[in-house]
Amino acid sequence: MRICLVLFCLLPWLAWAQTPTPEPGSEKEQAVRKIIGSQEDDEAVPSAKDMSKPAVFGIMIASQQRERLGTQIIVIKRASLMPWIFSLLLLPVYLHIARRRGFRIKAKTP
Amino acid sequence: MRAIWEIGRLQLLENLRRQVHLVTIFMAFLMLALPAYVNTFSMGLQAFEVAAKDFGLTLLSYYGVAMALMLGSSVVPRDIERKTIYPLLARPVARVSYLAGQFLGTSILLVGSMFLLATALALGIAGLSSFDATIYAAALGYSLECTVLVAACLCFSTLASPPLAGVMGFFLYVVGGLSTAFTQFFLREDRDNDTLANLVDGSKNFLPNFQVFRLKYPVVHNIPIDPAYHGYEFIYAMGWVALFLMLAGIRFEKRDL
Repeated sequence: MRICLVLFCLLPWLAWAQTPTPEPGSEKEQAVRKIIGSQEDDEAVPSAKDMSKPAVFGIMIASQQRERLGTQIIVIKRASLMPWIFSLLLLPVYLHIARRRGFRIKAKTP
Repeated sequence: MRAIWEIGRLQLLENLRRQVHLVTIFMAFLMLALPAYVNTFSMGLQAFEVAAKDFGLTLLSYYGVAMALMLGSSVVPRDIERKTIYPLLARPVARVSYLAGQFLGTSILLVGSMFLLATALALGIAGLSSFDATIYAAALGYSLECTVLVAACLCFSTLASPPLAGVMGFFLYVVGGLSTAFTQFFLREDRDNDTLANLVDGSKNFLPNFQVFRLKYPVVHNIPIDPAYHGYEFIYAMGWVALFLMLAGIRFEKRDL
């Protein structure tokens, strides 16, 4: 019963949240040509909201594929510094807490 | 160091006693048969190798993440619940050594499982075309991803219950691995949700970037990978492991056990 109620509330919201898919056809081809041309001229900024340019999803896929090729070594090198520095900063904190626990145990022991 | 190794060995034996490896063996058979299965449905196309590698490495990734979340979040609470932690803590062993040992045992099992599955996949593909050793490069990346997740879940499990630690680990995996294209096109452009996009971008700076470990795409499409890349991704992963273990150690020292 509860599941039905949840579905009843959730499904219309999901239906509303979906954006309509553009119809394939000659308009799409024109939009693709247009966006490819403007991309070459570096004029248009791609926007997912602009439904007259379905090729924008092609750009999105291409940018994701560029990401999938891997991260540059220099970026990884830079990103590695942060966790190592924080670990080294936390080491004295840990040692201090560990020492205090040692004293606590000693004080408890009769 | 000896204490860490001994605790790691015990944890490994405990995981084997729990028969975690049986899941791996089942998956290995699946991986071995996968290329032949894909080939059957390829209808004579030569792209079966690409599809089999893609599918196989995706399975490998999901398997690793699921195992890392499950094992990482339950290791310490299970020991506390079964009271097997007390004889260990009564010995002159630092608590961070205990955590490091638990992490080591779980990671050895996971990395071993990943390489076994990668071998099964490579052998399955070799049976139909040729042996592709680059699969191990992707397996190494996924193994490092799993070790970071295990360390994170171990850290969270010292703060929260195992299910919550698992959920937190999953959140870390999702946000840490979110592509910039997703935030740019779906959150910022399509949904106009700049606040959420900024929140995701901001939090990504303080979380491990799991995309560093994902080498499926170059492996599937035979794009060469610089051998130095593996060294740097290892250093990156170990940095996060050290940080999570240190945070877990600080929290664990304060616990009254």
